[in-house]
Amino acid sequence: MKLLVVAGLLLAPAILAGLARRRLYRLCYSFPAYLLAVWIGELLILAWPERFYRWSFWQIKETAYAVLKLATALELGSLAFKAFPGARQRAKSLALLVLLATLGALLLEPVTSTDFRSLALELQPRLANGTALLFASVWALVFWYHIPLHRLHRAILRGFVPYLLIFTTGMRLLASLGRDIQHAAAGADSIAYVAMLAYWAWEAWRKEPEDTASSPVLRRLQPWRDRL
Amino acid sequence: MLSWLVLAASLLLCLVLLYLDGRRRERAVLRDWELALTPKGERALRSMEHKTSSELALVDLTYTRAREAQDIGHKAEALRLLDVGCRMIEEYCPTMLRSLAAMAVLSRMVAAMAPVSPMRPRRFELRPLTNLAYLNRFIHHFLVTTAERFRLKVYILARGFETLGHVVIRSTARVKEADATDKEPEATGQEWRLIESARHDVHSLSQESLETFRVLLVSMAAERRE
Repeated sequence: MKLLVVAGLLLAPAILAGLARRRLYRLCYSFPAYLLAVWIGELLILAWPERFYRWSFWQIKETAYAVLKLATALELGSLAFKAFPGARQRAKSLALLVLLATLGALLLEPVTSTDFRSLALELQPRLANGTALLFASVWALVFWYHIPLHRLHRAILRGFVPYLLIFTTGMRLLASLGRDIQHAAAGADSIAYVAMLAYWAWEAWRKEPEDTASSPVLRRLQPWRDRL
Repeated sequence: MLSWLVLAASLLLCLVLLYLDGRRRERAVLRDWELALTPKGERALRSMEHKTSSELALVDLTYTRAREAQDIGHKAEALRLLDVGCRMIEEYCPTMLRSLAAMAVLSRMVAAMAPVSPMRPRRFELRPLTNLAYLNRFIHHFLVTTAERFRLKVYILARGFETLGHVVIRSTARVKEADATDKEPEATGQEWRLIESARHDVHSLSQESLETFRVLLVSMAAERRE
């Protein structure tokens, strides 16, 4: 388990370095912000466990990650549909619907827990599921409207949707079955998380094919390419 | 319970999205957009128009010769030509289906679609196609956006080509079967009439498809000007 934590700690800065090297961080500012937050959060726990390995810090960092993940999904949607007014309108409506449903799940669905720790375990998967659905709605609309995606945006979607669902499943199982499966759930989550980071690191460092990047049609469809 | 159901649905959606993503090729997407946003698309659709009319002319010629051979009693020649005509339509229908599928994709890429008229039932002789045209007219009025109406027409046209292909294959097989068992000429008369109607309707369906192409061209031209 410790090996996976160390791998995660090494991969996050590797992705950030790759994004900086290829100037890809300009294509979705929330994404490097999320990676940086994750890296700092995990580093603090590993370096000073006696101070940061506690429930209050866990709650703060998970909330920060959740906000940054939501921001990434919204930024990704706004970039992908920037040049498509019809699709953009549909994406806005769908995002609003998913956000309202997530809020409803957080506030209206009854909670069975009485203590803080169990409450956090119960609410986190609802938020993660909502975020996964937000990413999935962007992805589905990209398919429906036949919208060209930048490889970084595609990688974010490919990484986040399955990982968040694995995380949600693990958390739900943990909340329902208790500590018996704590190690199994944490192991599955860590493996999925490191796999996602490894995939992003590969995407961040690989070179973009020249012929697609210079296409004038693509520049019209992806006006934010000028940032690169 | 509800949250588990939502999770299960999300996992299913994730699998579908991963599958679709695996099949998707970014280069092909970009090529489609080049068709929509550059004069390349207009040229491709114009050449399709020419190809359609020449293929239909060939189908017409084959069926006319088959009918003539049947009328003067050259049964073997009539059957051979009927078979050729049937194979031509069999090949023509999937080509049109692929074109219609491409049109449906292109229609989602156009921001504003020009108005499209529903199919006219009077243009068709085969009963199933007339019914499809009535269905198109009926649903057309319930849809709000021109893009939805366009996609409905494309869907109905695709169903029309499928139906037409089945009618031609079935009637050709029955004519051949009747000939093999030496049945009365009246027995095959009905099938010959159906084939005649199918030949007529393949023109009508193609005409409707070309009109739909034109609507798409107009919408794409407007997109380019923006």
